[in-house]
Amino acid sequence: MQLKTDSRQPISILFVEDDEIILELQSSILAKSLPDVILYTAVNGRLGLELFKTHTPDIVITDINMSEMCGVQMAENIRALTTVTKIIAITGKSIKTSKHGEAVTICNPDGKTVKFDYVIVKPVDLSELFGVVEQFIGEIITPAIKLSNYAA
Amino acid sequence: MTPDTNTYHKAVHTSQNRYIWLFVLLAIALVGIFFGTKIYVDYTRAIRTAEERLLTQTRVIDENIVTNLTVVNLLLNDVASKLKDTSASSQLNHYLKHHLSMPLGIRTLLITDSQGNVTYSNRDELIGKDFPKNRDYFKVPRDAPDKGMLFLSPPYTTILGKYVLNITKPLIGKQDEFNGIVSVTLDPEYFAALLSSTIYTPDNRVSLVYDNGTVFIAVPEARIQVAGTTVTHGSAFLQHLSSGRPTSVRVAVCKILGDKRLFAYRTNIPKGVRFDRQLIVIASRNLHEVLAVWRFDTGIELAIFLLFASVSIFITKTMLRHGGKLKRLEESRAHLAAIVEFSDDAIISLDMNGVILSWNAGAERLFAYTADEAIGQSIAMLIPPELQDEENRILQNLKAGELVAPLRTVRIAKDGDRIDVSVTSSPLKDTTGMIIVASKIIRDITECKLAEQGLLESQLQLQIAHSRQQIVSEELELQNEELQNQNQELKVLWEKSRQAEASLLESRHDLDRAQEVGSIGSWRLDIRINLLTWSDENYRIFGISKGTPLTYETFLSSIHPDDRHYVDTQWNAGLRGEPYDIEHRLLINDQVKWVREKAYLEFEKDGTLIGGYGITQDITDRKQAEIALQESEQRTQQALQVSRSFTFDWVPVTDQVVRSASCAVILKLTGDEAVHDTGGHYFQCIHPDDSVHFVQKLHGLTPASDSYTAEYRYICTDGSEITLEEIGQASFDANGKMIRLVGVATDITLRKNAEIALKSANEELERRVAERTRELAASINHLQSEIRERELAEETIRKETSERLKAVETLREKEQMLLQQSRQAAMGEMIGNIAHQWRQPLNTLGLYTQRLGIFYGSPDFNKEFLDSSIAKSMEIIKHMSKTIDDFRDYFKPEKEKADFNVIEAIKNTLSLLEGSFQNPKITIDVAEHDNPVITGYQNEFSQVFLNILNNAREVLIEREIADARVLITIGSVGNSAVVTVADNAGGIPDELINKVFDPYFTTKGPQAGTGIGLFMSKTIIEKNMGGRLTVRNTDTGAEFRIEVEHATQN
Repeated sequence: MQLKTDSRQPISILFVEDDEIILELQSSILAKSLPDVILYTAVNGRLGLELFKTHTPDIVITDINMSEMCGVQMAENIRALTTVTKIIAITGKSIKTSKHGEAVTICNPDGKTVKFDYVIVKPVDLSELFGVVEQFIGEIITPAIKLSNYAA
Repeated sequence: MTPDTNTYHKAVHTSQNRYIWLFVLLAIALVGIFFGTKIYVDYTRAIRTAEERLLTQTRVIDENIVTNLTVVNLLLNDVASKLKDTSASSQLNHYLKHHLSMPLGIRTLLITDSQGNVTYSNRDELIGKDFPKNRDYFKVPRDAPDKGMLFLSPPYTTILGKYVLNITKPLIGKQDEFNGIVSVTLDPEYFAALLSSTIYTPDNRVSLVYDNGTVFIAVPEARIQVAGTTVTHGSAFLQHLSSGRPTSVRVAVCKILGDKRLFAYRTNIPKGVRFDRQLIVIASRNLHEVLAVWRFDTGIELAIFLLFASVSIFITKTMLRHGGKLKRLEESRAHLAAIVEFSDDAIISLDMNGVILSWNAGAERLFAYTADEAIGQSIAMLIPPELQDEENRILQNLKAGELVAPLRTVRIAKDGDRIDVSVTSSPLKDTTGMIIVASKIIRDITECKLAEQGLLESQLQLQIAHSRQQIVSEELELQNEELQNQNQELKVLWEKSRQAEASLLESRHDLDRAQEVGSIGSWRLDIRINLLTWSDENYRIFGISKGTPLTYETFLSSIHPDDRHYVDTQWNAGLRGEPYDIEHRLLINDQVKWVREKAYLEFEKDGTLIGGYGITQDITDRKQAEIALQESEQRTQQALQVSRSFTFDWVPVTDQVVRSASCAVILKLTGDEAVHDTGGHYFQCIHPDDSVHFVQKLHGLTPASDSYTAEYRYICTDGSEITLEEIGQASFDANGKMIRLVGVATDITLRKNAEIALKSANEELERRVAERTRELAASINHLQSEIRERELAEETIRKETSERLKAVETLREKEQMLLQQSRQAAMGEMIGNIAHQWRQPLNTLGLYTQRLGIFYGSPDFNKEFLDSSIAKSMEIIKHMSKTIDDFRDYFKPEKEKADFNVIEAIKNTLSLLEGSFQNPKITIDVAEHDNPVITGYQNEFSQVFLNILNNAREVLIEREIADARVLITIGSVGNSAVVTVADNAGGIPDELINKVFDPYFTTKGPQAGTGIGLFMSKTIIEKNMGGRLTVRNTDTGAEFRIEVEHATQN
């Protein structure tokens, strides 16, 4: 993984959701709300992981319960590749959520735990989601600028 | 055969065997080398063939790809050139659409300006968009414009979720300025189809890979989609690249498939097309599969070889063993013959008619018939006439195949002697098992019989001795008594003898007095005048009247005839000058008289007798007393002898001891030493252990206490030891000094021995009693400890029983608790289901709602958008409403049992579970063979069914079953409705299948389930509905079976 030092490069987001209606709805909302962001979408964890390997997006937003590789397994694979990417989970299960913006660990079916940077429980409050995404974008861009300043 | 020749033969035999073995093994080795070579050649051929085919495959793919890409290149060139021709620009969009119909899998074609804005596209909606400016396929040609180069992207997923790849050509102006790109998006399925069409075996895989190792496309994607990933056989791939050769073949391990594969690499060299990177075609096959045919052939060849080797070894071994066996058989036959010939026993064989067939040397010796004489004769000649039957019986038994016990009987030899023999008969069979000959071993047992008789007698004696011994102890008591009686008698006798002695002394005294005072007859002889004169007294003594002429003859006639010769002899001796003093008897008027005669004869100097005188004394009284004494003495001696006693008389002053003659036998002495001894000597012979005590006893004697009894052991001269019992009495002088010791000693050795035997018998008895007592004590101890143990065990059992009662009580309480828990669990599960069913629609609804706010104000927010949002929201709301109704129905409590339709109940339940069986997908098939109606609480039945389905679902998910299925059958068997629920999850492990209905049994983690679902299901079906709930494993998985009786028709 290369650190994105070029601040000109736009932020990219990978959105993974297996319900096609929700995928379409939410990605259209995301595209509308974040026009400068490159959005990749996938209907399951496996495809999501492939897209991640190809494009290495900055932020991953994923459903948890999916056929063909669930969100936790995908996140586990992504974490094996890089720890920089921010991963946000949207889950239908009533579990601990990030009320104060803290990271949450989720257990996958094999018993492994994976750290998510943020967890949102369905039904999604978009203002919460966008708030987190914008916060993360800010975190990603700032060190990049600092680095470029340093280089200069 | 002597041992030496034996060894020699064996040695020759072994060395011959060695050559045969060497030859056989050489043959096997040659065949082995042949097969080995063939297997090796086949192996190389198989590999080479596979390599050639893989290389051919890569060439085919390569050519096709090249052709395809060339066409695309031409197309792009064409489009680029069309762009330059401004006059054609109005038709360009149409032209581009036209190109889409070409069979190249083109999805999108677009042209951008230098800023990345789409100027032309076959898809109208893309025109004017500027998304390409962020894409690699725009950025790469923009940053390094090269007119002749094509940019080839890895496959990626578009915003719309499509999987595509992109080929882009830069548009370069006349001043080499960058004017934008012309780009096509290709459907990789087209390439995939192309690659797939070349696959020729299931294990064959082909891929297109960039020279940096990134996979462009790979087929078949059985396990994992690999596009964009790195090649998994890195080092082999790098070796190929560094070799610089267009093609190469390598063996490597595929990290994803985890198998060893044969890889063929071909570096693509497009003709007329230049890409920004090289493409490498890789075709591979599983090495294991490549060698499958070779392995099969090798297996067969090895089997043939092993068969050949083992058969040849077996045949050789059998042949050699057979040869050796014959030789051994011959040797053993000779050996047996020798045994038979030299046996001491008579060994003969008979045919079944009793005719003698063989006759050994032993038989010749025993029966005195030679072999020539005996063979051919009937066995009957050896059998005494009265025993003829016996042999027939033996032969019959042998014919019947029965065993014949060795027989003791009598046989007749040639000379007619009867011999005691033992006969052992046994059958001899021919190879078919038929009994053809009887063999007999006959042994002379005459001596044996004698010995047996001797043995019998000695045994008899032994028995007698034994019984005698038993009597001894009784007799001993008697003997003891007898001995005491005898002692008593002895004492009496002793007293008597002492009295006799005393009377003798008295009579001697009387005689002396008589001599002094009484008249003694006297005579006088004068040879010269031949005159013999007797005194008056002399006449009276001889009983001759006075005046009777006296001659020697007169004198002689008065003498007892028995003594005349003695007197005559003594007188004649007296005449020769010897003293004449004799005692003899007279017989006067038939009365015997004892006289003592003493003569004093006078001689001339020349020795001539001149005369003499003498006295005659009547000693009849004295003599009679003497005889009485002698007789008494004899009787005493006899009594002493019989009682094995002797008397003694010891005078301490002289130390002389006088003993009675009976002591000779007792002390084993002879002659004078028996009667005369010294005290000192006698004490020496007393056993040292006893002598001190004995001597002390003697020293202790005083006039007041002058008698004693003692018992001591005496050692005889021959070393033997006897025990004596002595009774004695001492006499003392006036000074109290012992002057005499007299007594009787009795040999009590026998009694003593008997006493010792008795004592030892007593001791033995005591010992046995003690032993028995000890044993009894031990067994009592043992019994006591057993009792203690039993008491302990009883105590334990009492405790266990009370504990068990407590456990039963606890169990009952637990069961109550379980019922409660199960109701709560069912409720919880249902709430979980509702939550699951609602979560998604709620989320969707939320998104629709929030979207309105976000889209408000944008051109997209119009009436149509609003209507569709509202319609979709309402649809979701209605669906949720229906869901809650379904669940409410399901939870409606039922007060009473009712008849219900099984299929309906199951379908209702399935509709509730729809959601949870969608993701991951589990196919539920329902087979209805009947439409049964049963009685009970429908909700409970549904709960059971739900439990079973939920279990199946959890197992299917947990085991990641690819084509997860649940088959539900509804039917009837006899009078019962039968519902089975079978999954294909592989079944329940054997060790667990008996536990699944136990409460709290669960294979899931503690959070996953309470483990009481199946327990409650069984309770509901079996207790509440009177049916049966069972489980078994099918070929594919577990099958639960619910059986409930049909509702009664009324």
